[in-house]
Amino acid sequence: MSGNRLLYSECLRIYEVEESFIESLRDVGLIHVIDQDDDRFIEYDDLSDLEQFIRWHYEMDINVAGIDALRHMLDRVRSLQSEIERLVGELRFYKSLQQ
Amino acid sequence: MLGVDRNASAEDIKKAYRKLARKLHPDLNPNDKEAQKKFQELNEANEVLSDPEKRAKYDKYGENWKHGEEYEKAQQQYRQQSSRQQQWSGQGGQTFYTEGDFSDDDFSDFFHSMFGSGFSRRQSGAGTRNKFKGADYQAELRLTLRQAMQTHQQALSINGKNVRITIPAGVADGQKIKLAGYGQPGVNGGPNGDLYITFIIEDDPAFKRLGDDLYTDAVIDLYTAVLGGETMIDTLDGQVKMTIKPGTQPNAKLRLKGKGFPLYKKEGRFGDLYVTLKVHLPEHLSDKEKELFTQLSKIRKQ
Repeated sequence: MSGNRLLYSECLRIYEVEESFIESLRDVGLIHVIDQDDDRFIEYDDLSDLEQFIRWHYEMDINVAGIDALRHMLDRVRSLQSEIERLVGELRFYKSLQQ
Repeated sequence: MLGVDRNASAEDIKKAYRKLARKLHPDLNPNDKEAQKKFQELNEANEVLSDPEKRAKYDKYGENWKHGEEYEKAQQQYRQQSSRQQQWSGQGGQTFYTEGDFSDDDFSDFFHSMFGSGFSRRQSGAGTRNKFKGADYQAELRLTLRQAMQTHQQALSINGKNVRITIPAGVADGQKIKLAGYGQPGVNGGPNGDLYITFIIEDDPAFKRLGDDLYTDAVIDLYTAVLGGETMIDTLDGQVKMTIKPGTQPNAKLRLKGKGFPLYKKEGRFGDLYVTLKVHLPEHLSDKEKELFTQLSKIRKQ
């Protein structure tokens, strides 16, 4: 381990996941694997995402294509939720002007 | 909960669990407390059905669990434990909850009482994945409008650790910041989770905010509205003197440039303040006043 990153091999050992799973996540751009000198690393900052994908795959049986699609939909849901919050705030503002 | 019959095989249970988990998992239902609760129930059902020992215990006490002596005892223990687990404190009404992954705390009282607090969902049935990074915490921090207009520090107590955070002026309602490393501790040498703080900006009685602009009312008397003059207007940073033009109508709006809310992380820049002028009409007129108003009205009618 070095600094704020995790050795790729350590990552496979800790999470008990197949290399092919992480590789597929990397191929679709869901996880970044850093190559440096002769070592490969995963940034600590990516671990929350990785753990989430591991849950989706191993606990819910969702394949990588499904994870990719879900991730996209979740981003949409979050942005729509914040849009709604913003609109609710604005609506509250305009209603308060009428009082 | 799982919708499987009594003789369901382990494989059936696993399938049913996964199918429901895909619908109810908090990962896939952001900000949905109802789904979170249902997912908790799902895990409890799964836990029981996947473990013969627990299954037997549930069959024995399950139906009347609220009345059993064992339940009472366990409840008491659980309450003591939970009071120790109340580690969040601080100013300004913070609430904390976890999202995503689950800890022991996420199980209901019932399961704590049945199986003790060591009960964990990661024992059977669902995949048993190893953890490394600690879970992220979600928190809310309430600020008054006046607090949010100034860059200031707040002391938070997070898991017994005192943390001072700097909140930049102009933070928006619903805005989220991340404090890396202030979540649940990591396991097996892993990094801590992160703490996400969502700011809730409370309404102010005098100033309403829309984006970076502020809105307020100011009352002037009839004579100032009719004849013009000067009035003092409250802004968030003190009073300013304003000139009122003769013949100003009720509810006329004035814009005070740069007297609004500070722009987030853009020091020295501010939105505008919009002032709605309310005209206060004289009440309880004296005889003399009545006479003069009558004269005025006659002049207008001519």
